[in-house]
Amino acid sequence: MKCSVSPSALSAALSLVSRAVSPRSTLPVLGNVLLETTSGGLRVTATNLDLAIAATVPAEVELDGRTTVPARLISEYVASLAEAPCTMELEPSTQVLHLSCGVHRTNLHGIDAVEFPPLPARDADAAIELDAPVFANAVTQTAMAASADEASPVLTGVLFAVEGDRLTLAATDRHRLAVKTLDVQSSGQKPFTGSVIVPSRHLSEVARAVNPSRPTVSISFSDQRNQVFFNLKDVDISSRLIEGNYPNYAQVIPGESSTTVKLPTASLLREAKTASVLARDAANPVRLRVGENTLTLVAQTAEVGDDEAPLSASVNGDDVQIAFNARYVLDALSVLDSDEVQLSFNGSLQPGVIRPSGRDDYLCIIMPVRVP
Amino acid sequence: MQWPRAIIHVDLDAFYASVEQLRRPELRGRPIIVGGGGDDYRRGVVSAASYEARRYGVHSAMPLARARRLCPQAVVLPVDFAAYRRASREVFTLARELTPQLEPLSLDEAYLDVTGSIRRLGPPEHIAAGLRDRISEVCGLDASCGVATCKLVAKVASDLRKPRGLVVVPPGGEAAFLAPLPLRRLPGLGPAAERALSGLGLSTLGELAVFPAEALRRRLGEHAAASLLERSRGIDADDVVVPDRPKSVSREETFSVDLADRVLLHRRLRECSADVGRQLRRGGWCARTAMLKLRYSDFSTLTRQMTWSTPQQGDTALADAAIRLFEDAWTGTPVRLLGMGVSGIADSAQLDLFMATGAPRDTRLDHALDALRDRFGAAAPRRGGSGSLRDLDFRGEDLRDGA
Repeated sequence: MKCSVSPSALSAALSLVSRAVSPRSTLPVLGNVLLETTSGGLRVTATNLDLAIAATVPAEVELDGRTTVPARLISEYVASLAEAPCTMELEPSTQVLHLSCGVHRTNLHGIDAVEFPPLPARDADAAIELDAPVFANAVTQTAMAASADEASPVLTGVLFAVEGDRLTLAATDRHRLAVKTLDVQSSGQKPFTGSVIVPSRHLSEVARAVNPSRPTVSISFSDQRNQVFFNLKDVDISSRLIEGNYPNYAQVIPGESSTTVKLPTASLLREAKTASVLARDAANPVRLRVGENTLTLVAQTAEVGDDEAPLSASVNGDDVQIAFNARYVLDALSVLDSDEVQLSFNGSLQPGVIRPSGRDDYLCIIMPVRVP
Repeated sequence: MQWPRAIIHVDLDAFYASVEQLRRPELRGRPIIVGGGGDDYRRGVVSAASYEARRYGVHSAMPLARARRLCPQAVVLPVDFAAYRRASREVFTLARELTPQLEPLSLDEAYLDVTGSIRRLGPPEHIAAGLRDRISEVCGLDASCGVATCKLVAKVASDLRKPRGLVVVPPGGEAAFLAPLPLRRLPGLGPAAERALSGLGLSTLGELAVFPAEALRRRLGEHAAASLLERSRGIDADDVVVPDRPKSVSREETFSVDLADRVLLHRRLRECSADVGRQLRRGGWCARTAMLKLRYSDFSTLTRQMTWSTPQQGDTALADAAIRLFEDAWTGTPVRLLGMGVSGIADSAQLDLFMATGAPRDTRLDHALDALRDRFGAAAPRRGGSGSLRDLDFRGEDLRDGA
């Protein structure tokens, strides 16, 4: 293997793929990145067996080949290089990678690429395609509601449900539920329909890879439906899927509501943030008191203090008082992509709904906290 | 004297035995051993011994049989946790009047951070002396207190002059206070570390405190050496932590006679589950995972657990899970010990999206039973099991168990 690359391009690729490196694995090669020449240039890959990320950087290739080198080491090394062409040449018999860039003549000891686990192959031709920033936004809006508790693995994922040209993402940790619907384009012989569960942490890696040079994302699933593949131009991300049955979330979405409130998202977010400072009891309860043209935020913690903030709002329906974990409210409001937010309630012990005013492509449902 | 931090460690003296002596004044001054479980104290180990019994070499964790050989005249009493918990609550309530910063270590031990109370109540040694006197006046129990600038030294101090001791270590005097004490006095320094240190020729904490760090590291490893050196000099930055909620709640029972009767075993599981459920409801918690513990006659022990899809706190749900786990695990051979517990405890104030909204009647029943048990203790009615009713005589004793 012999090729030449730009250190800054390689560094960017390494920082992207290094999220899949598992430095403390029992398999030493998983602490390495795979470097291999392809028709597109130099491809850099890391995997922890659950998640694999590969990125391709432009390279002048003189001689094809592949090897693996310690991820942390090469990332640190390349990031510190001055911008000048960096050539790398592999000594296959010793697996020493000779690098030369500017004044540096460097040798890194690698592990033979044959030890690097083969990545799951994308076997299906069916894919769905959509605008990458739109997808990244949908991931942000839903992944925040996924559970971090490994005791219920299914809930640590985001449900992907594809039906025709619609993709629905849903996530819940039992206390809240976020659902987003997107229009997509399907391609391939047998378009994918059905639903799978994708680890939410892995989805966030996909969202992180999105930038203006990667305008679209193409998503496909393995025939056995145990892997998902994301392609963003020069980046490929594959993740194992979570097996299990996702709870029937549709049944907990309230149909009607006895109270609806509309007000500017930004002001509610700002004032709720302030009120949350005084919501220090277990489950951080912030009370929402809805009366005539007013939504009042109330937070109080014994022996600490209290806070009350009346906000003017357009209110329809019954007066209500309901308490939520302040963190859940802030999470939902901070990912909302509309200037006006609509809140709907059915009394103080039924789920509350937060959605962009006048739109039905997104909603976040939060279960209340019982307060004395 | 300026106290940068004032910590009191309060430790009740021979607690279980003292509670027993308190309600049976005729036992005062006599050797008492508390041990065994529930309705039987022929088996099991010593849970506590009065000072009179300790003089004969009886100590906790000793097999009961051996303790009785050492001190045949001792009165052996069964463990009555309900009574100890009541007494403990009384003591902690008194202590909380001094500061809300109270960290219970067990029923008979707690740390208090009284730094913020000094202006109101005076110097920490007065606060500690006052607490000791109040406990004896109001609860009739003896307590020893240690006062220092950190938890570690306060604990060592309270243990030094039992019973009814009060040892104050002034700020800055920590290292000098610890120096003459034997290694064993330092909490967390176990027999293994002690052997290793005596191999280096050390016998007191003062010798340890000035021992070259490098040599200690080679012998004990980096982490243990650094921590021991600091602690031997009385340096401990740990804060008094007011507990949030427990990690787990469990109840287990060692039977007087090994049981192999499915109906009886189910009934015991229901009773354990009801105790666990009551504690959950009292704390306002619910639990995600149920756990079964089973020990056979040959002491082989197994635990099984399962996770609910929604957190639970009701007696029926707890008992159903325990019985399911039991049925999956039980080989049919006699059982010596049976227990049920829960973990993954969360606040029940946060409602669950997928929680079945049914069974409010069952929930009301749980709370009604809790109220009865708070009032009447073990004599209160319980949920019936699948077994037949017991034949009780006028004293409330089961006529058939002995038959």
